[in-house]
Amino acid sequence: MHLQASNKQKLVTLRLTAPFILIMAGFLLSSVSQAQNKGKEIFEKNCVICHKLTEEKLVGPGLKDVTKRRDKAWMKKFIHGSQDMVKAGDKTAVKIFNENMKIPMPDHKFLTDADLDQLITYIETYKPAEAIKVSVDITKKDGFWRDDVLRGERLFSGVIPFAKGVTLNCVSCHAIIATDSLNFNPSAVDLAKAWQEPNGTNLYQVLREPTSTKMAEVHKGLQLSDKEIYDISAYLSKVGKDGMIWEKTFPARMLLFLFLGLLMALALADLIWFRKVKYRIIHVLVIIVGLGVHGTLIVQEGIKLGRTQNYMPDQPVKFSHKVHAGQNKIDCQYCHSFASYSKSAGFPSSNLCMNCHKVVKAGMRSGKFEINKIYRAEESGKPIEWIRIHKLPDHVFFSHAQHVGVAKVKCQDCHGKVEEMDLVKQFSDLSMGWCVNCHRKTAVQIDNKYYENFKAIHDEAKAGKKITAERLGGIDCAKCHY
Amino acid sequence: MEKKYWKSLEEQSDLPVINPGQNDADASRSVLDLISEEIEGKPSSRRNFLKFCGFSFATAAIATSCKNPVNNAIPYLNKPEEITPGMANHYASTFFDGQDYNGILVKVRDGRPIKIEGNDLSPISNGSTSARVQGSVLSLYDDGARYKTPYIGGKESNWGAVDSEVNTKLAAAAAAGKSVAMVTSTIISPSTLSVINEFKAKYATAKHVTYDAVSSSAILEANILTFGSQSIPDYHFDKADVIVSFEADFLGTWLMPVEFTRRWAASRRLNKEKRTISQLTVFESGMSLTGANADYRFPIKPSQQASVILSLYNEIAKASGGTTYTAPVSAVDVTKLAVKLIGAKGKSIVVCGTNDTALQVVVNAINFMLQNYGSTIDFSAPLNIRKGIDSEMVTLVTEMNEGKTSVVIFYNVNPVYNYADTKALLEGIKKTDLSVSFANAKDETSAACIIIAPDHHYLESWNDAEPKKGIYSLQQPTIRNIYNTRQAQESLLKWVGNALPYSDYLKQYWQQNFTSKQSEFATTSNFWNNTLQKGVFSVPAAAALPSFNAQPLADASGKAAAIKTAETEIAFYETIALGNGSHTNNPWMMEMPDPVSKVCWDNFAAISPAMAQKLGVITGDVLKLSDGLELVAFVQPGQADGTVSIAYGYGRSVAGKVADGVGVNVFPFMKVENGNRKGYMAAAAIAKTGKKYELASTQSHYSMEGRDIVRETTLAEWQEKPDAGNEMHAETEAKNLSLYQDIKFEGHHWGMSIDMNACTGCSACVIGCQAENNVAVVGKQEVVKTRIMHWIRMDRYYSDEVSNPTVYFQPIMCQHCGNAPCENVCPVSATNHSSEGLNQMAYNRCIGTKYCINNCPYKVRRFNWFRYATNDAFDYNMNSDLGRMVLNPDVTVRERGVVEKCSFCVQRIQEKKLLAKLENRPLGDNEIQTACMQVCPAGAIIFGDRNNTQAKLTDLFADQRNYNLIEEIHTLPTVGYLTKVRNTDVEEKKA
Repeated sequence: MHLQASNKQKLVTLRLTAPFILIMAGFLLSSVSQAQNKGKEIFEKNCVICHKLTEEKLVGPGLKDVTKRRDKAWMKKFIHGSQDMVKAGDKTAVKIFNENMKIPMPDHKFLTDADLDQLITYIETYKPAEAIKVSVDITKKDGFWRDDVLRGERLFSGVIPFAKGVTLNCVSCHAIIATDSLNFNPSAVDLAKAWQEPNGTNLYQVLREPTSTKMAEVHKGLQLSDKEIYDISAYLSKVGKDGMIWEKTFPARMLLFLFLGLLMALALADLIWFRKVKYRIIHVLVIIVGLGVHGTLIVQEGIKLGRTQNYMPDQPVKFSHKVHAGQNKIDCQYCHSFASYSKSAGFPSSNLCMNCHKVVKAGMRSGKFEINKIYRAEESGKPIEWIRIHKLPDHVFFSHAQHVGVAKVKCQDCHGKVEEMDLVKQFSDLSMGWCVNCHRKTAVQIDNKYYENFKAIHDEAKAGKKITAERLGGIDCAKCHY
Repeated sequence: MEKKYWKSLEEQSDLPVINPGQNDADASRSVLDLISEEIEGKPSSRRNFLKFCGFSFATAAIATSCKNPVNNAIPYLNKPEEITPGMANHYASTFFDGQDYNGILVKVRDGRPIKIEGNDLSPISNGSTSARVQGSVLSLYDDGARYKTPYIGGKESNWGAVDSEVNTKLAAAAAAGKSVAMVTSTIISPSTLSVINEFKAKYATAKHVTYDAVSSSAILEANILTFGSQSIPDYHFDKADVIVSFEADFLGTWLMPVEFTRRWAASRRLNKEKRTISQLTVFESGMSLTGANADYRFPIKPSQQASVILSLYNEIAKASGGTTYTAPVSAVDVTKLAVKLIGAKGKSIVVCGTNDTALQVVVNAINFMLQNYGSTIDFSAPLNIRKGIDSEMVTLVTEMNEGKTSVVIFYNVNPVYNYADTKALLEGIKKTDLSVSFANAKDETSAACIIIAPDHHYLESWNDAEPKKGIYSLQQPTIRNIYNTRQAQESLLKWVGNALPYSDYLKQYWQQNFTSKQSEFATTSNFWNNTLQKGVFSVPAAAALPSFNAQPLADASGKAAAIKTAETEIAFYETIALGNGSHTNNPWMMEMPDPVSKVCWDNFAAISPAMAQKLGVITGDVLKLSDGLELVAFVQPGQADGTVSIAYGYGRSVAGKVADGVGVNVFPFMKVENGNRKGYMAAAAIAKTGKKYELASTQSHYSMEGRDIVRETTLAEWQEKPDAGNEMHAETEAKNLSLYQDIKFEGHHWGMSIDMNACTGCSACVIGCQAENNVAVVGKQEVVKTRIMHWIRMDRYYSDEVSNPTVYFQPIMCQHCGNAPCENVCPVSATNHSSEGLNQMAYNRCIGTKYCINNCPYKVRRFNWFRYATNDAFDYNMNSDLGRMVLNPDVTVRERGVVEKCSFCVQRIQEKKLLAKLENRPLGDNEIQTACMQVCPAGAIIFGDRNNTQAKLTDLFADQRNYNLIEEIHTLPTVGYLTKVRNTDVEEKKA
C-alpha cells in the first residue's frame, strides 16, 4: 500500500513539473543550438577519429580548453593546413607536430570560415553530457505496475497519441514480430536488451538527444514526456522478458495429409461396411490419389529431413553482407580469412570488425544501434553469438582449404550471391548428391605440381581431356567420411 | 610348416578354446525376439499390439514434427594470433613422470591438447614414444580423479590459506630446529633442483629425499663402489653384437625403453648392406618383453641369477686372466655364452635389472673385463632418470617415527601406495606437524596428508629436464590450467618468499646457465625462443671413462655366493602399461593387453605349466601365495619352474573410478634388504583356495585359426638364401591369377610394411592408434566378451616347448586387401575400395549386419555394441564433457550399431595431401605417417605410396623377406610383413 501511495505522489508531481521543465529547456536550447548542432556535425564528421573533447589524447591531443591555450585565428589556420604552418616554421605548430609523434594532421581546406566558427564555438562550449534530471525513477528496469506496462504497450503501438509533439507508431520500426527480419531498425527486444543491460541505454537521454543522424531524422518532432518514456520502458521490460513473437505458420501440408488419411479411411469403411456410395471407382480413385499424395509428401518431407536449404535465421546483429561485400566490395576472405588454408572458413572475431568500425560508427540504415553491439561485445567481453547457417553432419569432413585454396572454387558457387543478400540464407542444400554431382562435373587444377607424379593422368590432361575430381577419387567414401 | 605355432595353451594341446562370446545370448537377440517375448505370456496380446502401435505412431509423430536445432557460431572476441580454428598446433614439450622420459610434441587443436607425439628433434625419443606417453594426455581430462582446488584437512580451501598454514608450520619447524623433509621422485629438471636448493637454503633443517618406487639404487651404489660415480651409464645396444640381460627388461620397462628399443632394433635390422644382427640372451623368471624377443632365453629363479652371473664372471676371468671367485653351481651352463662374449670384446653388453648391489658389482666387473666401458657402455652422458637410493627413504621413515620430522612434503611420489612398509610410513606421517602433498590427482599419499596443494598436470606446466647429461629439454604449457591448481615449483617459490612466477624463474635460469653454453644464438631471448620452439638443447658431453676399482669385487662375490635359493620364489615385475602405478587410473593403459600374457584389467600370479600341473591349478583358480596375498593364477608358458610372477601397479585404493580395487597391490611385499628394495621374495607353500576368478584375456580373440601367418628363419639360413622361411611367397605370387581385370591405381596406392625383426611387441602402436582414432574403452566385462575395440592388436604366438617357448609378435591391423572379402558381402556397400587402395568404411552407411566381420580372414573389424561415447555404463573417459575433449575432431565418434576398423589414418593422409597441394608440390615419401608408424620406437612400421618408385616402401616390398598374411587366398593385402630372422645357431639347437 505504501508503495502505491508514493507512486501516486510521484505521478502528481510529474504532471505539474513536466511542462514547466520542457518550456524552460526549450528557451535555453534554441539560442545556441543552431550553431552548436552544425559545429557538432562538423566535429563528428572530421575530427572525432583523432580528437577527444576531454583531456584524453587519442591520435591527436585532447581538445579540452583548447581555446584558452590557442588563439582562434591560429586555430583556424592550423585546421586549414597544419603542415603548411609546420613547414613555414610556426613554433607552436612545430612543437605540436613533434609532440604527437610527427603524425601530420590532414588539411581541411573545404571548411568555410563560418564552418570553422561554428566548430570552434562547439568545441569551446562543449560540456560533457550531464545526467539529465527527470521526474520519474529512471533506474527502474523491472517490476513495473501492470497499468504502466499496458499504457506503454499502447503508446508503443501508437494506439494512444503522445501528449505533445508528433505521435509516431514505434512498433512500425521497432518490430516485435520475429519474421520482420528485413527491418534494419533495432527490434523492440533489442532495444529492451540494450536498455536493461548494466550501464545500458538511457532512454530519457536518447529520446531527447538522438545519437545518430538517422535517429534524429526519424524521431523528429517527438516530444515525449518523462511519464510516457517511463511507460514505454515498462512495456520494454515485458518485451525483454517475453522475447519476439513468433508467427505460427499454417500447417497446410500436415492438414492435407490428415484430411486425405481420413478420406481414405472413410472410403475404405464405406467400401467394406456402409456402402453408401454406389460407384466403386470413387473409392478406388480416392484411395489411389490419397496414397499417391501421401507417398509424395512422405518422400518430399523425408528428403528434407536434416536439410536446411533456404534457412535464413535472424542474426543477433543486423549485419548485411550486401552492404559489406556488395556495396563496399570487401573481399570475402578479409573476414573469413582462414578459408584458403584451414578446414573452417572462420567467423571474424570482433577485433577484426573493429578494424573498420573503430572509424565507421553509424550505418546508413541502422544508425548506431547495430554497430554499438560490437562495442558492447568488446566492453563486456562476451562475443557475439551468431546463428550458424551452414552445418554439415558430424560424420562429414569438409575442408574449405581444399576447395578454396586448392581447387579455387568461388565462394559464391556454394554459398550463392552472398554479396546480394542482406540476410544470409543457405543457398545450396548441402546434400551428398549435391557434393557428388559437383565432384563429377568439376575439373581439378591439374597444373598443381602435386599431380606431377600422376603420369597417366597428366598425359590425358595434356591431350586436352578434362580431369574431373571424380577421376582422381573425388567420390570415394573416405574423401569425406572418416 | 613343420613348426607349430599356438596362441594359448588350449590351442597348443588341442583343447577346445572356449569362446567367451558364445554364451552371450542376450546381446545377440534381435528386437523382434524381444517384442515376441514381451507379447508372449501376457494376458492380452491385443492390448500389447495396440501399445506397440501407439508407440510407433508417437515416434513417427515426434520424428516428423521435430525441428532442426539452432546452432550457434561463436567467434573469438579477440582471436589469439597463433590459433586458427580447424588447424592443429604442435608444441614441443617434455614428458617425465618420475620414471620415463620422452621429448614430445603436443598436438593442440582449438586450444586443447589431443595427442602426444614424439619430438623428432629429440635425440632420445627421435619422434617416437612409449604407450604410457601416448596415454598420458588422457589424465589431463580425468575430471573424476584430479584435484580441483587445494585442500586443508580434507576440506576445500584456497591458496592463501594453504600458503599461510605452510609458512607458519615451516617457520615453527625452523624455530624448533626440527627437520623438514621433501620426498620427491627422481628430479631431472635442473631448474626444479635449483628451486629445491633455494628451499633448502631458506630452511636449514630441510632435506631432500629422492624416492623411486621402482629404483635402480643397486646400480647407483655399485657404480659408486667400482667407479666412484653415483650415476647410471648409457647403454648403446646398437653398437653391441652380443647382449646378455639378467632380468633387465630393457625393451619394455627398464630405464629408457624407448631409446633402448630404437637402438636394439637398429642392431636387429637386416637389408642388403647390413647382413648381421646382434644376439640377445636373457636370464629371467617371468616372460618379459625382452625375454620374448631373445634368441636364447633361460628361465631361472631370481635367486639363481647370482650363480649364473658369478659363473659367467669366472669363465670370462679364466679366459682373460682375472681373479676367479668361489661360486655355487651355475643353474645354466654359461661356457658357450662366455666364449661368445669374449669373442665380442668391446662389442657386447651385460645388463642386470636386479636391485642387488653385489650382483651389479659383479656385472660391472664382467663388462669391464669385456672392455665394454667406453664403447657400448658410456659414462660420458650418464642417465639422470633414476637417482633414488632406497636406504634414504628407510632412514626418513625411521626419523619420522622418532618424531624428528616436523614437516613432510611429497612431490610426484605415492609412497603410501608403493612403499615397502606402508604402516610405518602412515604412522610417521601422523607424527609430523604438517604433511603436504603436491599430487595433481587422487592418490593414497595425498589422502593421508593434511594439505593437498595440487600441482598442474604436466601438459599445463612449465618445466625443463636433463634426462642424460648434456641433453636438455623444455616443457611448456599447452592449455591453461583447467582447475584451481598451482605448479609445485611455484608453491615452493612462494614458500621461500620468491615472488617470481615459475615460468619467469625457468626462463631466467636458462638464460643465465645455458646461453653461454651455445654459440648459435647471440642473444638470450633468441636462444630461449628457439630452444622453446625446438624443445630440446644439447651440449656435447666430454668423453668420460672413470677408472675401474676391482676392490669391492671380493666382498660382492662373497655376498652374491651367499644368496640362498628358495623352493618357490615370487618375482615382482613392471608391466608396460602401468609402471609404478601412476598410470593405473588411465583407462587406455588399463585396457591395453599385456603383450605377453594378453591379459588386461587385472594382475595375476603367473605360474609355469609344469608347476600348474603339479599343483592341479588352471588359469582362473585363486591361489594363496603368502600371508595376505591371494591372487588368481595364470598359466604362463616360459615361466621358470618354482617361480610365480606378479605385476605391481595394481591394487590402488585411492586413485579414481578406473583403478580403484582392480587387482592386488604387491608393493608391500617388496621389502628393503641390504639397503635395496628387493624385487622378489621367497614364498611359503602355495595352495588353492577353491575360489575362481575370471581374467579378461584377449589371447584367443580374433584367432586366424592356425594359418600360415608366422614366417621366420635363422640368420645363417637367411644369409645363405634371402627368401629363407618365405619360399611360399614366390609360389603364391606365381599363382596369382584372376578372371577380373587388374585394378589400376592411377594416383596413390597406399601400403604398409612391418619389419618383424624390428618389432618388439611393445604395443605403443595400439595406444597411439587408440589416441588418434577415438577408439573406445569398453571395460573388463566387454573384453571378456571379446568386444575389445582396438584397431591394431598385437598378436603373440608361441612355438616349441611349453616350458620355454619361442615367442613371436605380430601387429595386426586392417590389411586393406586389394581383393577384400569384407567388401563383397556388405549389403549396403558401406565398405568398399577407394581409388587409392584403401579399404574404406563409411559409418553413416553401415547398418550393422556384421557380415564383413564374419568374412574378414584377419579379424580386424570391430562392432560398436553400445554408444560408448555417451553411455554411462562405460564410465571411462568418453562419457563426460571434459573427457570428450581428448577426442580427435577429424575422426568420427562411432555410433552404436556400426562396424569400425583401421582406416590407415586416412585423416592424416588427407591432411598431408592437402598440405602438399596448398604448397604446390608433390607429396614427399615418409611425409604421411600413420599413428602407429609415428609412435613406433623401433621404426618397424613404414607407410608409403606403392606407386612411388622412390619410396622406402617399394624397397621393402621388393625384399625377399616380404610376405602377406594368408596370401594364398588371394586377398591381395597392402600390408607386408618381413620374415623374422633369429640369431640362433642351428648346431646348438640340435645339441
